[in-house]
Amino acid sequence: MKVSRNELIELLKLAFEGLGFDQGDYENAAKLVTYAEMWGLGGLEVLARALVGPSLRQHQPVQVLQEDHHSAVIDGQDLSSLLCLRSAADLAYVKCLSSPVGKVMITRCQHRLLVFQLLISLGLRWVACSASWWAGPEDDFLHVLNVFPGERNPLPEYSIYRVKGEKVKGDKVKGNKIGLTSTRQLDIYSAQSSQAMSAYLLELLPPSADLIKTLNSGDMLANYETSLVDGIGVDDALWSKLVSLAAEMLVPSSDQSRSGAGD
Amino acid sequence: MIRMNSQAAPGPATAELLDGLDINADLRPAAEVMDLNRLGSLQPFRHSFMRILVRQMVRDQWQVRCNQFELDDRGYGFAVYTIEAKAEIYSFVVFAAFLQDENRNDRVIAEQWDLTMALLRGPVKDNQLQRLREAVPLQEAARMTKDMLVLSRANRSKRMFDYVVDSLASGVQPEINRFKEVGYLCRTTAVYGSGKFGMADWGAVQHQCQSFAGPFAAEMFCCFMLRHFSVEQAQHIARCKAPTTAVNLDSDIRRYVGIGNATGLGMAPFLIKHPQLIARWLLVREVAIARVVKMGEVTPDRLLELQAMMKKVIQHTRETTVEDAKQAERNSQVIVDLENLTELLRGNPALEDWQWLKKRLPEQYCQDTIEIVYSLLIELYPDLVDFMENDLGVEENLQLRPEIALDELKQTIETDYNWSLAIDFNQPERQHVFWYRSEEKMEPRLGERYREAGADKELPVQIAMAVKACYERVCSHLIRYPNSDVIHFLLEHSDQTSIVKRIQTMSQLVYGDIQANLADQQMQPIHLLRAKLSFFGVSKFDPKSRLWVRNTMFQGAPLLNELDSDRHLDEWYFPLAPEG
Repeated sequence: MKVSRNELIELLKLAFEGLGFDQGDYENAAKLVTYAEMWGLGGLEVLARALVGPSLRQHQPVQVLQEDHHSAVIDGQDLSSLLCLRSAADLAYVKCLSSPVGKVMITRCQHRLLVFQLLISLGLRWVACSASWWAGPEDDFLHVLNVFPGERNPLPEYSIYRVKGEKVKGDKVKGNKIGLTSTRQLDIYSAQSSQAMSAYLLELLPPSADLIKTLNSGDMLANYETSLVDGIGVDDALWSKLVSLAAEMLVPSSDQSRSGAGD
Repeated sequence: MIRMNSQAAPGPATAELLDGLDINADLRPAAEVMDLNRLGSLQPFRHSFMRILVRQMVRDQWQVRCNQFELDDRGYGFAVYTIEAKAEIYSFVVFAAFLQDENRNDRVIAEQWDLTMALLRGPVKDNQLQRLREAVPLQEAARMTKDMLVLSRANRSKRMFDYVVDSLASGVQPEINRFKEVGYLCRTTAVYGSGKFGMADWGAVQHQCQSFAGPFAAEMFCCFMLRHFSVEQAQHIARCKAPTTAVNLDSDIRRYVGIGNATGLGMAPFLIKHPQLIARWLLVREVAIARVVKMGEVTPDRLLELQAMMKKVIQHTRETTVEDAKQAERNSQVIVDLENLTELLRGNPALEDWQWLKKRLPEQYCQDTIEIVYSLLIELYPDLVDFMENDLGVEENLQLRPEIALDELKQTIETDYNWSLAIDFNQPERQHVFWYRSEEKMEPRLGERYREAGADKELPVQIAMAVKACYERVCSHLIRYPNSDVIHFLLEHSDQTSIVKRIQTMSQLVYGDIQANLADQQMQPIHLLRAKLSFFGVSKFDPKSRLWVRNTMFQGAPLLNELDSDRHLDEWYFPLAPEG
């Protein structure tokens, strides 16, 4: 079925509220999923997976493990990005105000693709930013999301690289700074200068990385516009699931409650 | 190209609107403008959406033609209209069905209606019409499509519809006095847009529909078309009843026929969910007032014109029938005030500029009168205010400023939200009610916190309470970390992210949040409804309880066949019944 952006965001908000998210989290999470879908990143598919596991049902606070003036490490507690990223992108923004490139690493973070709209939010503040993570059965695929400020809109791009033989799970990648200090780590970088960010990203990429998939700004913007105008395709079963979660937040009707809106 | 986060047409920067004005000296303060009681006295004005729409239709010479009018002798069937709005084509489709009197219900929870309708982009093809015929009468129970902008429904007025049909059938015009009591034949009970039920998203409407890019323009137009159809339907039934004697409604009476509207609590959460948009609407109205007061030259002609306008409002108010005792009392006070003010203005040598009047208004007159006088002053000087006609939209994006010192956030709350800090939420009556969504069509309702179930599913509209709770946590955090900043506060208190964003964003605006405790026992939700309805441009505000209200739309507005001239373009504010 096709739904509008507004309709999807409103249902997701209610569904996440039904799952126990607090207001800041359910508003944020609804946008992260919706926009990841609209930009062509498959946000709804990620959500469908997330709904199966426990990562959306746990609500412990994230913990800042270490922090200095240009970087921080946050323990994501095996929660979904929808919950554990909370202030991570904003923290990355603050870090880039006092250093050329700010860096925030979130360990034990699920559904990392959903970080995307947080980067767009930074782009709307005229900050260049990037997020990267390792995935795949052997953790040999490097996913990189970049967002640079544009004249009218932020310009995003998404690339997946295959990296062979140069890294050992749980270690740093040889000869560069993209580190794997834990499983399911997400790194967020931000910079006030696009040039500084570009130079930093070039330095980060492993030399043997093979680009196997990319979505450039044009592709992503086209996906976004098509979704906005034509509607967003949602699997019927997922929609039903969301409707039933949202129903948790509706109050049963009674004669007394009916009088609470009318005569 | 689509803008990414836009939810409303972008207006100019606030600085441009404020050009030539001193915020502190010329604009009324937020504490006055955003006070809920004051918002409950707002009046329609020149930049209300219906007024803007009518000017746009005339300026752009919209053409509307009826392609199909397939009603049976009792008026049941359907009609299809095509609208040419500059280079854009739209369709208005309306379905009329039999409805038992006992099933006629203004509430959102109703399941059947006399009329159901939709506004669509592009012409309607035959196969599409068949789908619409199945879906539109079901309203929320059906899925709509991306080409639909607005979905709505309406019921006949029990008091007026049959009376008008019978009058016309017998060859006589209906009594105009009857229209003073009820100024419409049909009444809308819901008007949906903004992507609900699979319809076009607001972002898509802005992108694709220049004619409806202003806030609620498409919704207002749907009601305008309903007004036209309601009379066409009544005339059709009269002709079928008595082909030899039936007459059409006299055009002066027809112009006085508006469309009724019943609005309930569903409208209220919108004002809380869209604080930047509401603050913009208020800013436009207040800037218009300030410009007129500061720059409008007082001449004998203008003074006479204002007195004539006040006379018109007095007459309009006398022609307004309401059952609610409080509203009737308010209307009576308006009449007394305006008669008094008319005398005061007559040949008063002290009246050299409008500042003189602005100073005296709050000293001597009720809030309704003050807002009416300001609406009239705006009307006097279109050249000073009409440039803001397209500025009622705004890009909504609550923006966090995480780098700000936490102490600065504390000071912001103390300065801009002192009204919320002053509320003692430990008193039960300050938390007496809660807002929630019912499982019946998700209808927003009010419950009594200490008596009814559901407070655990409360809607987040209690901004005052949230701000105060946030403030207490900020203070506590600052005791432990005096040099902390917003981001480190939020890392520890992530549940405060939403309210901090709101505080930081709204404190940047001239007019911030609505200043009210929406949980208070004495809170009047109807004030919220009235504030929004005034920007729609409705008249004949007729409260049926503190929770819902009837009103009239487009009464006195030009008819469809009058859009080719500006004869009735801007004279229909506070409309009067035709004489005779």
